[in-house]
Amino acid sequence: MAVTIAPIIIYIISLFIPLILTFIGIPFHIRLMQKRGIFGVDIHKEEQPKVAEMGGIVILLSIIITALITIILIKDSDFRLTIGIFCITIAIAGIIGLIDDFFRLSAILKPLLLLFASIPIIASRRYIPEPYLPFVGKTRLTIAYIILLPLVIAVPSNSVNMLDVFNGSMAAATIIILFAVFFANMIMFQNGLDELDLTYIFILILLGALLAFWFFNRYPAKVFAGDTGSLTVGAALGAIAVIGQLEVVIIIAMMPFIMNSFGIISSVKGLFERSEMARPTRMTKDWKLESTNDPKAPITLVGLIIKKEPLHEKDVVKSFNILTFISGLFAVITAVLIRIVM
Amino acid sequence: MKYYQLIPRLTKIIGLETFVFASFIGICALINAVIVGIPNEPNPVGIAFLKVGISLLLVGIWLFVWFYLTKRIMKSKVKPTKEK
Repeated sequence: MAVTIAPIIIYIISLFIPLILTFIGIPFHIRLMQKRGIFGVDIHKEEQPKVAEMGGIVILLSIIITALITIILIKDSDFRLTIGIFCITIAIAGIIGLIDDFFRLSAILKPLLLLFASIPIIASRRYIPEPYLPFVGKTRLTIAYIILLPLVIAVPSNSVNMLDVFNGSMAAATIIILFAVFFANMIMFQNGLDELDLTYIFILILLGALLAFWFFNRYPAKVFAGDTGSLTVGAALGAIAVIGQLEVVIIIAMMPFIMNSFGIISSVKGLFERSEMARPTRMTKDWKLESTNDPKAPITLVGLIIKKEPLHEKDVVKSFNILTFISGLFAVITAVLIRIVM
Repeated sequence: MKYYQLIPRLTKIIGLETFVFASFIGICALINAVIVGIPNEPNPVGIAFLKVGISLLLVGIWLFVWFYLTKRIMKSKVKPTKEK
């Protein structure tokens, strides 16, 4: 006889398994990377430490292993398929990131390849082309939605990648977004934790992995996520938006990420790799970040924050957190305004 | 630095965030008040297509304004403080 597991148990597993796996996996990963000589120099510190790269591999594996465990625990075949599709989507983005970490893909090829990450969702029809808008409620966008769907995965992936420049910046900001999206989902669909909702499962899996990762990635970082991590996390946010019908809520929650991308793209007039662009920041004698004021450098959110006076790396990350917290609040308000008309 | 000490230097960006959010809500209210109310007769498919088109155009304009303002704010120069 099949045993039905209470949703709350599945939610607890979804949060704690990736948290434990990442927490145990990262120290092993750091040792392995140091042994193989795969590290990046943290240029924002006086001692220029060598920090293990590609910590995102552990995030990706933790998410996939936990997702497979939930597939075993959940009896509903439709839910199982959706979890599988979520895994394949983020795995594609993660593999593109891994290839980029090893071989450096061009700045145009990377977003183009990321468009393919949405294929599993489109092919398996794990989307409902009816995004919710505040005041309007459910809209019907059948054709337009399918045309825009590849961007829903590629845009967040690239935006998260562009903001992953300081110790803990990507992990902390994404954790804040996930909390906001969790509450927004609760408000919009009125699903309590006693009901099985896949959106909660995806949010909790990602949250668990990122909380553990943040512990090692916060200032002073012992590991970097690399493109593997940032593209995985961005694709996961995009997949949550599509599968959970939270497109608008996630766009609002990700405002600081999108603004940063807008700034970079508008200033350098196109897509370029970080190494191809002039540096927008430099370090002062007391190891604070200051703007280079180089007209060829991309204009970033960091540049705007440190425009008036130099700031310590930790304070720049705190500034990101404040901005993400505010956009998260706006995302929750958006959910309330959507709920009113549902 | 404490979190509250950082807020004064973020006022411009927080202002932009608030404007972007408020304008989006405004556009949604406009879509609800004007476009949703258009009757679907005599050509339901054509009218529905038009409604979606206008709504997407409005969202497109919102995205462009967001992009433009971000660019403007990021490119604005800091006024040098006068020496006495």
